[in-house]
Amino acid sequence: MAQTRRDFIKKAGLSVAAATILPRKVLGAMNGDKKYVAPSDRMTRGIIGVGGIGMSGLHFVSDERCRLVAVCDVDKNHLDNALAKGQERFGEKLQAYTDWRDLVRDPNVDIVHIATPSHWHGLMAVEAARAGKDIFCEKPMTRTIGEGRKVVEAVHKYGRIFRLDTWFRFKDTFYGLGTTVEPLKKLVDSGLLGWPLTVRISGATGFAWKFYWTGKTNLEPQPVPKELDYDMWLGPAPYKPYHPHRVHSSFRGYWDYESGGLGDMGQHYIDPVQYILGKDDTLPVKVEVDAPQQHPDAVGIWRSITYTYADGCKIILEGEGFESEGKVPYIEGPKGKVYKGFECTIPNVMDIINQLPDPEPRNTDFLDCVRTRRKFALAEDNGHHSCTIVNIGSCALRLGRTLHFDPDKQLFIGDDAANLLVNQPMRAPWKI
Amino acid sequence: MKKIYSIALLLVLSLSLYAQDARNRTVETVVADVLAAMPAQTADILSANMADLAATAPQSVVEVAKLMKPAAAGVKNSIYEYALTGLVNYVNDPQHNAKAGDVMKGLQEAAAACQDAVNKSFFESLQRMLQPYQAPQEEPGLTLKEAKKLLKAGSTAEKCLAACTIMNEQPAKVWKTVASALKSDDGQFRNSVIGNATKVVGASALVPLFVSKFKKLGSEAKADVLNWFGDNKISAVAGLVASAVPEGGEVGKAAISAAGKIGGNKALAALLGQLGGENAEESLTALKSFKGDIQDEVCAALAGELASGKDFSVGDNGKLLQNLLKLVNARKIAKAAKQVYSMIGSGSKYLEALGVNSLQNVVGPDDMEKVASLLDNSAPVQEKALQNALTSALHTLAPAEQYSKLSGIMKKAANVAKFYPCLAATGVDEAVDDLVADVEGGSWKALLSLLKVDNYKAAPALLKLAKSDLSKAGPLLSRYISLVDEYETSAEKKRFNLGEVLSLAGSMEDAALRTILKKSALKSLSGVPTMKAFLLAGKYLGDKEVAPFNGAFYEAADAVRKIAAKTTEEINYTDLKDNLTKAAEIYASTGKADDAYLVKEIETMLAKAEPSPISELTEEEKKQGFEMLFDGTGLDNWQGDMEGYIPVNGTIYVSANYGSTGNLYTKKEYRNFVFRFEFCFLREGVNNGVGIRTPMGVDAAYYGMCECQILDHDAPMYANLRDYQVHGSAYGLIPAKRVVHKPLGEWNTEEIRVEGDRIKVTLNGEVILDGNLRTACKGRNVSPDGSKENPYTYDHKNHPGLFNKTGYISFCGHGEGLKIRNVRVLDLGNKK
Repeated sequence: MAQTRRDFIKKAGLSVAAATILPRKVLGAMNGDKKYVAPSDRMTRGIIGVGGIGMSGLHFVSDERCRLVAVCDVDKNHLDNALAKGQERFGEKLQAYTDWRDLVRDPNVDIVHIATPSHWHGLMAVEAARAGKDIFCEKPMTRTIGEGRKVVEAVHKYGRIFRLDTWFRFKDTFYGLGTTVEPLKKLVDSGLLGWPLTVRISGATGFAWKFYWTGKTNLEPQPVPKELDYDMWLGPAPYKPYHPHRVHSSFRGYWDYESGGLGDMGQHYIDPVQYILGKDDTLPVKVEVDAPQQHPDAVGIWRSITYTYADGCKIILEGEGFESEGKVPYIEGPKGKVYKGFECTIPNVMDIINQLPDPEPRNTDFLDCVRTRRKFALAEDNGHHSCTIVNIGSCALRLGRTLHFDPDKQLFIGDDAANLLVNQPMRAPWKI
Repeated sequence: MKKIYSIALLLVLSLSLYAQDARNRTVETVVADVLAAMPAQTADILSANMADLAATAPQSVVEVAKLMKPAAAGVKNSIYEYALTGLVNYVNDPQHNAKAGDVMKGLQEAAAACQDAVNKSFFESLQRMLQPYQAPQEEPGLTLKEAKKLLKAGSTAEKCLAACTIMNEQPAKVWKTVASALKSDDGQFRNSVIGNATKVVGASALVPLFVSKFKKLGSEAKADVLNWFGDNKISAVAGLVASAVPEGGEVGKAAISAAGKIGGNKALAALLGQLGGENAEESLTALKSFKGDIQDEVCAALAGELASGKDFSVGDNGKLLQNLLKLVNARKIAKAAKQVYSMIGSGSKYLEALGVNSLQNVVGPDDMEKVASLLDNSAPVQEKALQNALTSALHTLAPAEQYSKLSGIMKKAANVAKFYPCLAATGVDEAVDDLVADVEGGSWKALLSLLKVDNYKAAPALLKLAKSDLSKAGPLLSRYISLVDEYETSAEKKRFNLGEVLSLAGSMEDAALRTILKKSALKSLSGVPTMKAFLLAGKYLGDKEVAPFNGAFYEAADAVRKIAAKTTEEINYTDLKDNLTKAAEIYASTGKADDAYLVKEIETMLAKAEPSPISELTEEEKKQGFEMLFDGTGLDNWQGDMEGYIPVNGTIYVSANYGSTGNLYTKKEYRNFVFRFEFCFLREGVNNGVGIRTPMGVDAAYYGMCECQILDHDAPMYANLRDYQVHGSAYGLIPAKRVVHKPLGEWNTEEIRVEGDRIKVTLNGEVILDGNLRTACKGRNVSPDGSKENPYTYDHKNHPGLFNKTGYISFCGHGEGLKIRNVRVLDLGNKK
């Protein structure tokens, strides 16, 4: 039986806990500080994967609201580095794990931060949910549509709070677009652009696809470095002989683990569009690709990927080097267009926008969501949806043909081969 | 360009391949042809090839599979992998799956015959892709019995699962389960049950339960239920929600959030009332996003509060009023103009200040004179708000009308300077002129406004002012950069302007300013996709300052990377390599994941680049004593305009403009010589020339012995060219034979032989000029009577340099588009 830290406190040290837990509100009011956190409310977090994003300044943090207590990696060098940095930056002796299942079951961890390559995300998120942990998961959410459904289901069943880590739907100007999402949302909601809308995600509208995240073919097998547990790195992925390009910072170039630039950047770019178009509850019904033939292992480049929703709205992704020429709108509707930097064909658009109500407030403080058990602004459901769009695209790329999709069943229509990509087998003994 | 080119080429090649009739070829030939087309660049090419491969399955599959070797150094299995995967995808396509069985057979045979584990598993994975899709088997969930047990004794997550199972299995138990969860003090469990119950029975079925239990709930559960009301937008409970709004703490906050989402009059009234309360901030947020027109209610609340007779300046008395005005500002509630003006005219300093602050959000076109007069007579603290208000009122007019209206107002105004920001906001050319005039008259307030004008016309004035006093140039240059960045459409001008800022910034004393300006100029430069911009940015890759400023090296790295990726111009290989390598080192040093990606991007770029070809003297030239002046690597033997003549991948790229400065000169002077070079035109009508025996800094055609034309006279624009201007002519002195050049982009070879007064020009092996310049002008290079008209020369002009004994050999630039390579000279000495 899995045990949460609070259960642990309850069972193991009731009297001690009772003595130290002071009424938070009283203390907070005394300090006049909204962010004041009583010791009993201070949450804890463990990171799985401390080679790349897990070590970033955004995530390798420990503060008064949430303490970093544990890290896990299958590369000894990564782990040693994280332990040293933990000591150096927070004076904290982090608990180190080489098997993520141990971190997930650690009763001292409240929140599991999944920062591994994405072929692990689904499996880890489901297990974390089962163990009663809340989950902070890096994008893309899962490598297959089927794994995504499992995560959604587990998070719901086990009553967990889940946050998918991309944020452009609620803050920052995203990449080269030069505007935040909020005014775009107001503009689209106002109906001034008309309907249906076409959104173009392209170098021409400020988005780079990172095409250099492509894989290499004809890899010569190499000996596995002694610091790396390659079998555990692969986990549910099919066994392929080791080559350094397959792992760590270049893993995205292989279909077994992710889907290149589309996988890396796709959810960043597409997720806000789902929000802007008000389509968080649905998905496109068709995807068309224009691309060179894809290799079965190494991800290649593509020229365009076009998604169409049932109501005629479209998202068009344009590959690097294949952008539309001239002045290209980010969003185009029958009545107006909006370009990079919120340049708009509608006169005095800002005056109009300013008079409209703001978009509905959203819960964008993850730790507060964990505390109050309210859904985060980008959680398992909408996160799974935007990730599914990425995955629909990679299925079509791999098969090289137009696919039709059923948003309710979350399966392709009349295409067995495509559906085999929706639910892919895992290498034994892994099972989701 | 290149990409499209190669795809088009492949298309042509492959079309010709599959145009053959598959039935007449052996399986081996079909396989060979298909493999030659792998990977296919388009879906059409792929389909055509796969149709052939499918038609010859299962043998074709076995043939391809046989070619695969165990992975090792030098083994290239990828084309077979492309072919077989493409084939499986092809026969899996519902449109042509007739041959799927044969492909499967081939794959089974291939797998059976394969000794290599990796290749074998590849064949097996392809077989799996040919299987029909079956939904994955669901693992059995909890039994009801297990669920009931866990509900009592499990961990929180297990209890959540148990409750979820029970509700799914027995929807009739949902109410009971929820009712009991509501009593739990475990928030995780409570909210999980509420969420899953909603999924099972739908939100509306739960509303009566929540309503009936609400009053008795603990405060945490109350907050959960209120949040649930809001998330599900249950309008039937608007009254209940509204009544909970005034409660403090988490319950009040949840009620406010719910009221904002549910909407309606009750919610609106409750939220407006709460603007003076404990959760005023949350109420304000809810009201900012409150759907529908709320102008009348807000105005009524504002009027009511103003009529309350409170002394707003005491304690918290003004809180409600202030928040109502924040709402007026956020939603631009124009109807509140009446209340706002009444506050301004109230005689209360407190109300007046608040009113002035809101004015910009309520003014209309009819208010201009009134606001202008307030501004003219304003106290300094109110100036900014009133300027914004006047700008906002002016904004209802077209820009030209704004200017004429405003200049009318300013003529009557006592304090003109107070109107500068409004003038700047019109953004028209006249406003720039007016502001520049006043800045030159010594007004620093005009300068502050000039910095805000959104008009490129302000840029030259800003640059001039910056140069006149570098110690105060920071904000001016910063604004200059953003204007250039936004408005300069010519890449070359943009590069030039930013280069000027970079060099000015370099000589500023303040390290922070220096760095900020360089960073921002380099950021803008990164959008200029030219070779010159690349070289300019490259100069800052080593730009380091002491901490905390650090210097602009990272921005320089971004700039060289972005320019190299985007430019269609050729960049010299060694420059490309040096700069990109430095940039990669900069990225690698940050240790960030995104930067690691950029290192890869650069590695890929460098792998594609090729080193410059180097020209060499022929054996015969070596024997004769020719000397290499430009072999493709550098311009060490040259001087003059080193910006307009740049070595690019083995050639000199000419972008110099006409004039005495746009010239490139040999380092040595020559009297008699043979000058050999190759040239090509990149665009139509290119114009340049070779200066003979010329001093530096003059027009070689007149002050040198002569200028030997380089001209794309084949361009239609030169149809009516004078004969002494055609390519090869000694300009204005002796016409050359007009021959046709090689097409654009192809190399022409030329030799110019100068001995004494004789000049001989050979183009692509054909002599096009052979003459004596002294006899051509009958010894009269200048008019004997000193006039400008010289009847003895061909062009009737004076050529004072014609009899120069010696001088430099030069290239005389007249704009872009010429490439030169393999430049050699044989010095024939000073005889004759």
